[in-house]
Amino acid sequence: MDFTNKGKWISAVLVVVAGLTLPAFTTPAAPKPERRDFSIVARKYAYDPPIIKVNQGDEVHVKFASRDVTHGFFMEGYDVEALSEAGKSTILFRHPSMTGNFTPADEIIFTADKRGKFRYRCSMTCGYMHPFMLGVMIVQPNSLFGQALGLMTGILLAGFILVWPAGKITPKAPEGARS
Amino acid sequence: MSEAINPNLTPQSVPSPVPIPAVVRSAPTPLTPPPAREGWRIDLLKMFPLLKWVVKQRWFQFVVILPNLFLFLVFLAAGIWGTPVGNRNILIVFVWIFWWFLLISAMVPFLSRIWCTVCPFPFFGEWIQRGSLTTPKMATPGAKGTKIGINRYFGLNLRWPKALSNIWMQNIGFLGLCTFSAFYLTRPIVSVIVLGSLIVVATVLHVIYRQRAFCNYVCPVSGFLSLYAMSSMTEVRSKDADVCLKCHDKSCLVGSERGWGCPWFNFPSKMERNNYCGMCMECIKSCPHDNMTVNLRPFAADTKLKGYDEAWKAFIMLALALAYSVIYLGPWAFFKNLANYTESGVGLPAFIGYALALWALPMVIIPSIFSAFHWIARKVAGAEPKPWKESFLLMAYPLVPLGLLAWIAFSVPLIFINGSYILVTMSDPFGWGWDLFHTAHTAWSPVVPQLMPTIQVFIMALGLILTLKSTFKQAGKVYEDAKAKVRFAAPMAIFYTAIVLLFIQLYVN
Repeated sequence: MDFTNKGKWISAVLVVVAGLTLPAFTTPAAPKPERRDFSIVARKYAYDPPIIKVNQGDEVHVKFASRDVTHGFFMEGYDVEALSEAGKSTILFRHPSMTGNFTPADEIIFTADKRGKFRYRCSMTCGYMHPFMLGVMIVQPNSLFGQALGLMTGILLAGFILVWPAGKITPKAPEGARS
Repeated sequence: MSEAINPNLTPQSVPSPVPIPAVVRSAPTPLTPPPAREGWRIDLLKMFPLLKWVVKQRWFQFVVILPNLFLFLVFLAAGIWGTPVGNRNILIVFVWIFWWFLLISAMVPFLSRIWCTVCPFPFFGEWIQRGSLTTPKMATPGAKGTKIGINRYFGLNLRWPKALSNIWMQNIGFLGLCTFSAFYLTRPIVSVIVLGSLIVVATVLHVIYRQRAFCNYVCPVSGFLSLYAMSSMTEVRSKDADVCLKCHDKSCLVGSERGWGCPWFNFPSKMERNNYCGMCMECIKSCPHDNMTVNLRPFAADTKLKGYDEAWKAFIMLALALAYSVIYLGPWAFFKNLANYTESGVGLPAFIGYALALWALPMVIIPSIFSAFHWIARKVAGAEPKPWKESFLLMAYPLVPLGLLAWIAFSVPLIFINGSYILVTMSDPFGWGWDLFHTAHTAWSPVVPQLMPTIQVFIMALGLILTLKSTFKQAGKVYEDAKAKVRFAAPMAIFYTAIVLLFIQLYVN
């Protein structure tokens, strides 16, 4: 790599920065918020459905039920947690950062105001694979994904800029040709 | 890796009066200095005299292993008599969450194989083999035991079979263990069986074979440590090649009254890679010229894979990082049920299918795709290439920084999400209701879980930068012509970027 060529370095950095930032500007805005209802069933060691998708600003209502043992539902980044005992229609709900106490509830309700990928995890030890029991909520537009793709593509292109041989590229002369 | 092939394991040339260990006597070659090192070096032992004093003490390794061995035995006891609930048992939490994170994210990238310095697995075997915990035994006339170099050892001291002098056994062993990962990662008693077996096997092999044959050729942990230590920012090396050239003692190889001959079958004064250096510091003690030291160096300074066994280790590690990201960080019941087949009830045939797929990915699928890109790269480059094997191994090296960073990206959520279990099990290691440090009732509290995808993106971006940097650098070793080099590197760079994008898809989307 030519570490002394300032022009190449500036171009490479610009490409990486463009890759990282452009997707943030070009991502379409989320549609008008609406109410989204989901029924999520937990059983060792996964949730059904494993992935839910909502738009930023949507009000998310989750009917949460367990099919085998007591399972938890801890949504990363949204300060909501619920517990469901097998066979019971009501759940126990709390905001972990606030009171810490669970109260009975019919469903989990929160507004998906942050974009990106969030995992919902079991918060009640439920068996051997408990630490790996999780589901995924994608809040669209998932701009981090676009930015990550842009960043990686930018790094690839920047690499080529940095190693591209200086000077004009001339076609290879055929073998035996006079110089 | 081979005793006869790997220059690290051959004596290169030792003046004839010096008694050379039979294990490294096979292929003497003309005395040559080690190749020039790329990048900067900082002599840590010169910078920190106290550190130098510590590592030169005979008791050093014993003292660092002892507390580790004690903890390890406590963990095994917890695995046997403690709660069977994995996340409430100190064995599972400390070994597979805390230790694993420290190992892959801190020890390996920064301190090379420092884990091997403190590893309890070979403790009993090496004790039996040496007949001593600290002081080297000299092969004086009439002394009992086997003479290797000028030290004396007990046990059978057989030579490790040449056909197995590579890391294929470690590759197979690690893949085999990982096939059953859902069991030992979550069930304390299975962890006890796995870890306990490793201690037993290590002890038996130390009694049968000479020196660290177990560590070099069998230990499944050692296999990936050897690969990723290439990236590490520390190394044990000679300070001045000229001093080694003129040295007639070769104490680093044959031992002395100050230190054992290198137990890892290296010729330390000529060592040019971290792969098979267990950082026991014996060479630093034994060198009569004070010419061995520990250096700080740039990341990913060792860039040479020496055989297909090492390349396949890189494929295996990358594939497992990918597979584990699907199984353990993904939301799909299908994969979790297959991995955890005894409890999920999917049945043995389904598990066999899962195992076959898990083995096919690193042993066949990824190497085949890699080979296809490598073939295209050679065609696109146009110029006369180096032999296939040479360029294959050169271009497989970028898998090392890529794999290491992929493992770090995989491991970060484990500690951030489940780190609070460490506090719980510290106070109640057996799950018996103790509260030693008043942290037994700490609630499960993930740390910044919503930031995990962002952190993983930046780790993978760093991985891609390091990977592409080595891709272009390695391509320059295949083709001298600048344009051919870029043409050759292009398909490989695209291949590596595609792998990173696969991880991004899993972590962020």
